Amino acid sequence: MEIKINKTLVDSTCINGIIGDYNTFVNDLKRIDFDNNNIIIDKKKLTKEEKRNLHKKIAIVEKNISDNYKILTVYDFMKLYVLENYLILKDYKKKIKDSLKIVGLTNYHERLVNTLSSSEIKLLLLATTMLSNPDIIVIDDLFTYFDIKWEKKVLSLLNQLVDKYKKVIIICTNDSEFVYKYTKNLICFSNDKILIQGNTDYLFEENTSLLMNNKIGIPKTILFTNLVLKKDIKLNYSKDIRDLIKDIYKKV
Amino acid sequence: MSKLCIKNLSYESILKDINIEFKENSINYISGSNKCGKTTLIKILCGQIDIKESVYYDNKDIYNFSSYELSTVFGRVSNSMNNTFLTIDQELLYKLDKLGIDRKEKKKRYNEVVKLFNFSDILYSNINELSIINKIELSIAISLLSKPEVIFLDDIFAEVDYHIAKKILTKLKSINNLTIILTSNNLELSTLSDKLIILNNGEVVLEGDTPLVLKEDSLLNKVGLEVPFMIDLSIKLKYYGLLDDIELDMNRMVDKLWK
Repeated sequence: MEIKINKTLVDSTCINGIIGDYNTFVNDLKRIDFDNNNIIIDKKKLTKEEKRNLHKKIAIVEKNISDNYKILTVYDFMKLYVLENYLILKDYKKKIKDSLKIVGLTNYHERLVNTLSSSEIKLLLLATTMLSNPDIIVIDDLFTYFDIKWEKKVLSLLNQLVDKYKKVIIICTNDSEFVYKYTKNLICFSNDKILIQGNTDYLFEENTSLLMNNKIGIPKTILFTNLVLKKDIKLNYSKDIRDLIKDIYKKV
Repeated sequence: MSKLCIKNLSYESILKDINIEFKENSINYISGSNKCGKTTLIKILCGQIDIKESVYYDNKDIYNFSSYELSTVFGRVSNSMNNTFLTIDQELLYKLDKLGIDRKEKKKRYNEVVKLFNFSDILYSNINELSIINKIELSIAISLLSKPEVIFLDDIFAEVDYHIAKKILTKLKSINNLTIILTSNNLELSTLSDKLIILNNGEVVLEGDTPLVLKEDSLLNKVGLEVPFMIDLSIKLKYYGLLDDIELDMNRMVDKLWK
């Protein structure tokens, strides 16, 4: 599947990042109302019917669970998702079990949603979304409550979804450190419109002022390197602090 | 002086032999990887989970506190603002009504929190329509209405950046006689705290003055925590003999390295 946002191709071979004022974009996706952001799927303008069918292809991992659902058990919550989204699953009980296992929530079926930690709720939302086997997964602020260990674990799962199952992954976040480290293609929103898009490294390294002027955070390694570059010292941009240190050591 | 302390606390298989003292009017930061017991510890500290002879406030076992004492001495702010259709004004008045204080005092406390968080322009906005920052501030404001002596902020800054969290914490620090206890698995904000406590698998593995604890980069990495960028960079540059001590200011560090 090919997806274009404002004539820009979302890269289906890597994890895509979205940063900035992206709420309208996510809401448009939820309502399958693409006119604002001009989203083209498979090179064609979609009919109303096709737009409706897209609900099955796009899944959005929400930020949080509504309080009304928190009194349910994990299993009941996922079953309700299956029913509310009219999912046709051969063996939904097994699918629920498998989905929970994939995200590391084995044996959580009977747990009440309101007893889960913030990071466990995020994992549950991801597991639930995967039940619909979507082609495009839009993840809204998933990594906020994860520690490094979980962050890496979930990223490896998402990379697997891209490489093995050819899913399009779009991560919406305002954590610039995260997108710089883990995404290759980035779309920056400002005032609900696309400000700039392209290779993540290029965007941060070559457009720092533009992004800062639009209140988009800049990774600290870049801020540091830019300060050094101002002194006419050619320090290389590094994502890993250890690489940065090595370069500083050479240049001091 | 320490008013709130934990002595030999163990709880189910989640927390093991915890002993911590919290100084009055200080900012205390509890950190650790996911599922290390941070939220459970907060629930015990504010009396939400009953445990005998483990948590003491003013030398009294909080197990023997009345429910009113628990809800007024301790304020707990968590990361979920309930869905509500009320406005800020209505929510504050509703909570004040529950406190059972006289009208004059109600008005005083209302004005104090409205002034502290600059709510005057958004007083009649629906809470559901507020920004995440205003929602966090409102959650804190509601807790402050009971004039707590200790406030627990359970991972409430996860969705906002460092500068916003710093601004909110600075406002809280300006309140007299308030001890602040925060939890988070992100150590970036810990540089604003006086004391840092690191939990791993329900045990305290590091505890002390924040700058000293943050120097233990190997252990922090081992328990799955990322040391704040400038501290991490300073420690490593110091190791290579390029810097004498921790430098938190980026400009100053660059000037020191390339004089």
